[in-house]
Amino acid sequence: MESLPIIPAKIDAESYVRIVSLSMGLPIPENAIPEVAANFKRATKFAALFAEMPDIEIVESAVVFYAGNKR
Amino acid sequence: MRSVLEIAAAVHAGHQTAVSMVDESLTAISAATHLNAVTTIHEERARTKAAEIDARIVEGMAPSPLAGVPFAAKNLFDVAGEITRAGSRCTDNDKPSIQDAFAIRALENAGAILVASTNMDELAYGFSGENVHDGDTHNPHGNDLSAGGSSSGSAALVATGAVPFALGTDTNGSVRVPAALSGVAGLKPTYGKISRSGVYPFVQSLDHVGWFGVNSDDLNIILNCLDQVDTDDPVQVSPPIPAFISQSLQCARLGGYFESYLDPDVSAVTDEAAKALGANTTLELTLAEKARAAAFLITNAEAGQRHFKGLTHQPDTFGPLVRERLRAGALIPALWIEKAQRLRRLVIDELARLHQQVDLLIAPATPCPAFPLGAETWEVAGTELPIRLAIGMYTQPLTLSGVPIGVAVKRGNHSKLPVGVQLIGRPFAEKTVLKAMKQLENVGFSLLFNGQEGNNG
Repeated sequence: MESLPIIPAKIDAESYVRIVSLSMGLPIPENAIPEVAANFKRATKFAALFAEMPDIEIVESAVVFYAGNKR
Repeated sequence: MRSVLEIAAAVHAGHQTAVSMVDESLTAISAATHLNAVTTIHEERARTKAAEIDARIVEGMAPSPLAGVPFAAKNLFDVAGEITRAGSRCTDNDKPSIQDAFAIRALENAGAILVASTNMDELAYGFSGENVHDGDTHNPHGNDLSAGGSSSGSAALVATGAVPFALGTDTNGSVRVPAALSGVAGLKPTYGKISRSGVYPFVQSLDHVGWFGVNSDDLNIILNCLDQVDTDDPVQVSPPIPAFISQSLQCARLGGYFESYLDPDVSAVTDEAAKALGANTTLELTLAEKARAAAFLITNAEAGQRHFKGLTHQPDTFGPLVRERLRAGALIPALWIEKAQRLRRLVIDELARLHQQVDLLIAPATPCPAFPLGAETWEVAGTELPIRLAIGMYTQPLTLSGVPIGVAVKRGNHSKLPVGVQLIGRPFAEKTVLKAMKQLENVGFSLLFNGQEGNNG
């Protein structure tokens, strides 16, 4: 499968936090926005580490083991 | 306090009573209040159970295998009649538990006695043992140092000798990091091996019950007691997988990512472990850094969604650090998580390929020994690392794979602090991991009580 770009080249984390939290009904006071945005930026950096990985068909919501390592 | 096997043997032989062992443990817990490792002492319950055990022995009934052995459990394990705190105030309005967690029931059915619930990072979301509600857990090897988290109190209590073993949980390293920093043996079994019912969830797709002890023999007997079918746990593997032990251990060291930041003590102790286990080759888990990233995101997103209601209706009941992490996690796009889940499959497959070459892989548990409580950053090998996050950089990628991992410990020559090494087995090969830990204990990988080191194998 083709890999999908999942991180925009530039992201304004504070704006993202304001808009998405509002749309989800998650109240975040203005004084907490910078810290939440800092945490979200950290998540963005981690996501960027595997953004270009080729996708595989399998999506498992938790660990699955296969006998004999045969999948 | 002695080991699990020594206490059980003393009670079986009639040299000690269960009541006397509980007394000894409670006295030791009182003497260790400076560690702030305990949040609840179950004194009345423990004394009652101990008296029942002694009465049965007096009546001539054969003692159970762990008769009279005191233990502690992280305060996210349900205890009947009490609210499960999980180190937070967001749980204050929860109903008291109607029964003990499965793991506590299994251990008490085997004769062990719960004496205390232990301090932890709030909601298990941290590696440092710092808690804004209950205060920080202190390291028995240095009062200003982190005991490691999130199962901080359990590790510290075993390290100080107040209990011979304690339950914790491991989602991204919450047994392995405190085992390493506090200097006790630790085991995170295979994902799905041990029932999690009655354990306050943090990240359902990554949570494991784990435990701390004095040595591998003790960890093994606890494994035998906990390895039972529980139909209340939807992710437990059923039927149980038979125990498997490799005849001769073939080991290799994990290189690459796992050598990126190493304190000299950590490097030296990992070298020693590799040499002792005959690991002459180095293999690479090429997806390790990506695996850590995926585990971080899955954790952040799942935890954020789990606490969405609380974040919406009672945000002030969370500590600020954890609350802002959870809020950010709740906003993570689903696409990232699906991508992380696909990556998990690739990581499991790559690790399985490495395990086709060897029985066991060896890696440092943490980049450095214990760091000061309250530190935002800490220098490791010349680089300032954001230490609250970085201390789990070698445990977090491996959690994603769900394989069993033990931690063996030795004191570093320079820092004089404990250092932990991860022994990474194939799925369900806990006994092989414990066999390797035993081999290391025989060459000095153990920190006995009162700061003594040596061969306790």
